[in-house]
Amino acid sequence: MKIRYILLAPVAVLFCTASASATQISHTWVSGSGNDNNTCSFASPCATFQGALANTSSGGIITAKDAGDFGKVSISKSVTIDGANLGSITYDNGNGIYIAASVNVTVQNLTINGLDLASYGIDVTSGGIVIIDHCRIMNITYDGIIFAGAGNLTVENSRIESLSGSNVTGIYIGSNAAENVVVRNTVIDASPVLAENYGIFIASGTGPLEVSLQKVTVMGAGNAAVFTYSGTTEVTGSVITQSSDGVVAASGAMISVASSMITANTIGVCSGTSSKIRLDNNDIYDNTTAIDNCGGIVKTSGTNKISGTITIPAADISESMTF
Amino acid sequence: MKIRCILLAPVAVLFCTASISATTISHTWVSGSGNDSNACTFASPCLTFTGALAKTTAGGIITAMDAGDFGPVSISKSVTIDGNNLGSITDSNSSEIMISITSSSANVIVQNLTINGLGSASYGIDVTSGNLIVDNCRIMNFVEDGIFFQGTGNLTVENSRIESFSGTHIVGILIDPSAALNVVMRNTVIDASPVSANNAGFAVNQGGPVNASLQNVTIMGAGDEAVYAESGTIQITGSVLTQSWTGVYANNGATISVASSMITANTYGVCSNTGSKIRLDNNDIYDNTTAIGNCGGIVKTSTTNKVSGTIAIPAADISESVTF
Repeated sequence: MKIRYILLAPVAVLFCTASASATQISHTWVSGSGNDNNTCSFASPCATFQGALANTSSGGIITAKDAGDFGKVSISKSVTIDGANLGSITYDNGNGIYIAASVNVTVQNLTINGLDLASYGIDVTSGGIVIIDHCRIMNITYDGIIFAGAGNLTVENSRIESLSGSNVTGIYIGSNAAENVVVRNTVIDASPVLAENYGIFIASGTGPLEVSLQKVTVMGAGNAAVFTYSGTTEVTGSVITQSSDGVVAASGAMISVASSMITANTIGVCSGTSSKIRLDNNDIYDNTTAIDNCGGIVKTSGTNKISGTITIPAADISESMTF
Repeated sequence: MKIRCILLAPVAVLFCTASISATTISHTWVSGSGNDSNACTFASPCLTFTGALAKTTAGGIITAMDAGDFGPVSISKSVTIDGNNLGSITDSNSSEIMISITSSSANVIVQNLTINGLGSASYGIDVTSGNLIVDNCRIMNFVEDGIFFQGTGNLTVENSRIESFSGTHIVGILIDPSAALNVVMRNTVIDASPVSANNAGFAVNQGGPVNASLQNVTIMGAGDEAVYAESGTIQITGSVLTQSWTGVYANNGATISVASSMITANTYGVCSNTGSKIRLDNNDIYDNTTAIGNCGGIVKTSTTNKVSGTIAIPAADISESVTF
């Protein structure tokens, strides 16, 4: 018996090692006390998201089982990363999450903190379907989320704030491919106002690009809270406030704003040449200029309530409900 | 071998001490079983927020790795304090401020934390200078203000609850502006009860100018005002102001705009004092003893409010213009 035991022990060790490198499992785990040499099972958790990802089968999920700082992760297959409201990615350079392939990725319940040093929170270069839910993205020197390429981006129940650079953006959308973007129940704080930042910026491109903002608060933008160069953007139940410009459409872009507040900005609404902004049932108060004459079309339904200066010609304020 | 061991031990201790006092790290950790003489790393967590702060680089983050009571903290640099839905600051010292922020260059985020004054401590969070974001916190059982925000800077409060005041004539969130500042409160409950204590929910003193945006907020139980301002502009939307003495009170030239909200079950729904202005659009104003009090100032109404109860201002003062 003693001899058999001695012989078996090395075999078991070899088997475990081979298993970790060759076999992926659908649900992996990370722990503050984990180790990336483990299999990333619940009983044997890994230490980093990157380590766990290697052991996660495509379409699987990585969950934080306790508190920890699980490091930056570069993703090239479909996966869900669940911080479980315990985990964070705290980093001082580059991207917190980098998605370079057109894959389906969900990130939820996670704090992503760039420590006022790192460039991007989440950088998506190839599109895919990306869902960000219940995340906090903070202390970034460039963009909180940059989304480029074909695909869908959904951001909900999240907070993006403490942008440390200047001329940077909470959510930056840019590509020449079809994109659908939904941002819902989310706060983007682009302050300080002095930094010339944007809350949501939609770059010029061939698109087609469709953006829906629902129950979103965008504030503190030294440039514009919502600025679009392309596509169609609809805003409802939202608050656009305390920024230099509230809502700006340029270069033929179209923005529709309904049942929202546009308040306490230097300029509330600005529609540039060949662009169009629709306004229905909004409260537009306490801006220095409520609706500025920027050369484009502004259509109003007759149900908006407005205080402050309106510099577009009176004839351009339509009271038609068909607009 | 025995001699070598004795010689080495003091060298190691000296090295450790020097390392801890000289180095800060960007991500520190506290634990209910930590020790402030530790380095505050994940492997060697500290016991208190104050202990961890000293070892945290400016702009860094302190996280609770497990449940614990991590004590009051005074902050003079940028930092994030994350209770991780596990940690609390619980303290009954009557002279104590749970979180004090004292530097204009400090950008502070407090999230996922319970702050409990046990009915004895004075303030939840006192900001004399700096910017503050409070997210997913519960601030309770104070004899003074839940959040007292002075000076300049920005304040954001979201997804939080401020309640169980133990004193009288105190305020859930009191803004005392010495210069321009912006406030956003979103998805938050302030319970200023009991009504007999004459507390206020959200109040802005003279100074500023202040811009305050309140969104999806419930304020209730104020023996004085649910929302009170004596300077600046305040916009309220999607909110409920209820079960208080006065729902919305503008004073001393302040302008308060309320849209798509409910103002209900107060003694006075709305009161605009001399020189002040209240805009009302698309609100439901029900079950107040006096819906709109005649307080000497301007009340502008769109045609889309629904109002029950007494309207004390002259009928001519109820404007139906949409340009207001």
